[in-house]
This record gives sequence, structure tokens and C-alpha cells, in this order.
Amino acid sequence: MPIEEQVLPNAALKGLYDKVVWVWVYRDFKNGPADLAAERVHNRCGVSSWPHLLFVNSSWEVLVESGRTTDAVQSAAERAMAAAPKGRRDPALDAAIAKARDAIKTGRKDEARAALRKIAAGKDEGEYALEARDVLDELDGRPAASAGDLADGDADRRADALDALPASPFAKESLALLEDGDADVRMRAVKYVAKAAPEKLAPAAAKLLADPVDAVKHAALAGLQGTKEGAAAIVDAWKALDAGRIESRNPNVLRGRLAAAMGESAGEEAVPLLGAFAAKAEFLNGTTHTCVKALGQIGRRTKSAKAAAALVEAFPRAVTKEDAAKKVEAHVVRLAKGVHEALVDATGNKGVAFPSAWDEASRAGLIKAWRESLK
Amino acid sequence: MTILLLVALSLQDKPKAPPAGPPWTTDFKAARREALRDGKPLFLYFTKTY
Repeated sequence: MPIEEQVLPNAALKGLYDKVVWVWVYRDFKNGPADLAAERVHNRCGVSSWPHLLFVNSSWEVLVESGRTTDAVQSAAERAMAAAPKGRRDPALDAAIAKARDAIKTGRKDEARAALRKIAAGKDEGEYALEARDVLDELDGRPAASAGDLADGDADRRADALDALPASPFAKESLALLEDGDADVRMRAVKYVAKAAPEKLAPAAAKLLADPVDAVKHAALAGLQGTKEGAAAIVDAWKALDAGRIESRNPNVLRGRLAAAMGESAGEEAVPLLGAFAAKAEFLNGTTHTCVKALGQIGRRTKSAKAAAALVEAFPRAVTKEDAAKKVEAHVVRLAKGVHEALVDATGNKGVAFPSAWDEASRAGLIKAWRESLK
Repeated sequence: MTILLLVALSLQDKPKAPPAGPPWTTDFKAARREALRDGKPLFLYFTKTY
């Protein structure tokens, strides 16, 4: 059922309009302010594929993941409302902020500043102090992000501060933010440390690769990729993903990135893991192709015969008559060529030719030729 | 042909709008504070340009 045409506009959801806060999180990937704000929400909720319908609390923790029917949204909403923490509204502070906004509108700016500064200096459970500071910034302009904001109570300001930090000198305070409660801050901390002091990322590798949010794992993988110290952690992370000890909203994407990282830095110990996945020869799955390429890279780098042996087991089946009708023939052949090219990469042997057709006979012939060359 | 191309380009540049129905917001900070203060869950519809 189309989400935008039938599910979300359905009048049956009207009863929920004032019981739930409806948030549209749209990415256009143009990196403008709206896109970056949406990216932060994606990071905080661990979303890296689309579409997703989630009920979350005010800390961006997922309460319920909704199905894609009107009934499923209604049912998920009921569970989310029951799970949401109780409200923290303070009518007196609401009124004080509204009064300050009104003072700004009518030109009584000093009066507004005084009132807002008083609220901003106070403590409350409803983020009124942070809102008062935001209103002050709307009035007088927000100071440029700086290292002083790394300990700010507002996650957006901590994230902005990380993005604004110069790589040199290295800001040691950033290390504490690798364990920040906000996933977007953790991700930006990983990126900063990877850029400014990559050697400091490895000690935290295992924890970062097991982060509940995929964006943090992906940033950690990018930072650890190609480093000797990170290689063991990456292999362990694959095993943990297999064993269900690492959660991911999109495990296939994570596995693909782990495979790519192994290709860049892992040794022979990664071959059984990559080989087992590649041997399934799932030609429509991009991760299969990444595993094949990674085996070639490991074979070339380590001179390990095991990588080449694993690749020989990864050739897909021959094409069938049905493949043409299903329009998958090209995918099968592409994987077969990918395995062949990875074998060339792993062994340096360019003497085995890829056949002009991928039928049973030519497949058997190619596998035999590679096996003989590996003896 | 030119007209078709212009129509296609104008559709491409049109900012994407949320689906009809619910009172959507894209002010994430305000939405989160409303949820915090009123004890409501946030319903997030994640989508992207296709």
C-alpha cells in the first residue's frame, strides 16, 4: 500500500493528530541546512535506508517501529503513547518565554534579554533554559561554534563544535564525545578523531563498531579502514554481527562496509568469513561483490593461497534459460567476471582467460583452469 | 520537446512536500521539545529524494 498516497493521508489517523508529534524527515542530499538537520535525525535514530516509520521519545530512542499500513500505524501509536515518558511542561516558564517573545516583537529588547537570560541561567526538566538561549541567539545572533561548546547541554551545539574543530592541535576533549549519549555527536567525534589523531581511534574500535547506531559504525569503519590496529576489530565485528551481538537496522549494508574494510586492511584471518559469504554467490546482493573484491585484495596483499582458493568456490552457477526472462543473466555474468578478476588480483596470474559464454561447460572449464593454476 | 523538457525540469526543482493529512513539522528541535513537555511520542516518517 503506497505510504504517501494511502497510508499517511488516511482519515482513520485523524484521532492521532494531537496525540503524536508528526515529523517529516526528508533528505535531498544537497547538504543544505535542512538536509543536515534531517541527517542528524537519521543518525540519532539509526536510519540509513528508506522509507522508515518510527515512533520515538524525546531522546530519539525508538519506542516502536511501525508497519506500512494505516492499521499498523494506529497500533504502533497506541504502544508508543503508552511507552512515552510523562510530560515536563512548566506553564510558568511557557508564559515567561511567550512574554519575552512578545517583548521582542514590540521592540522591548532589553526587557526580553533580561527575562531570557534569567530563564537560560536556571535549571528545569523541559529544556526551557536551552530554548531561552535559542531565542536570545535569534535576537542577537549565535556566536560561532567553538571548542568551548564541546560540553554544551545542547547536542546540536556539541555536534557543531566538533565540525568546527581544527585538526591541529588535537582537541583531547573530543575523545570523551566518542561515548556521548547523542549518536550524531558520537559520529562526528569519530570523524574528528579519525581526521586529527587516527591512532587514537583504534583503542575504542570494538566499542564503536558495536555502537547501536549504524552511522557511528560506518564512521568508525571509514576511520579504521587501512589501519593495522583496526583490522582485528573489524574481523571481530563481522563475527559479532554473525552471532547477533551487533545490532543493525541495515545489516547487509554494514556487512558490505565491513567486507570493504577487510579488503583494505585484514589478513588471512578474514578469508573464511568473506569466503563463506562469497560462496553463496548471491549475484543480486552488492555485498557478495564486495566480499569477492576483498578476497582479491587480501590475496594480493598477503600472498595467501587461501584467498584464491576461497575465490574459486565463489563462482556463481551457469546462466539458465529462465535467467533471460527474469533479466538476471547480466548479474550472474557480472559476478562470474568479478570472481575471475579478483583471482587475477589475488594471484597476479593473467594467463587464465574468461570464457565468452557462462554456460555449464565454460564454467567447469574456467574453474578447472584456476584450480590447476593454484596447484 | 522543449516544453516537455521545461516541465520535467520544473517538476524536478519543485521542493518536496510532506504527504497530505497529518500536521507535519520539519522543525526537529521544536518537535522534540513538544514531545518532552507534553509526554507525546514523535512519529517520524523518514524519506528521501528518489
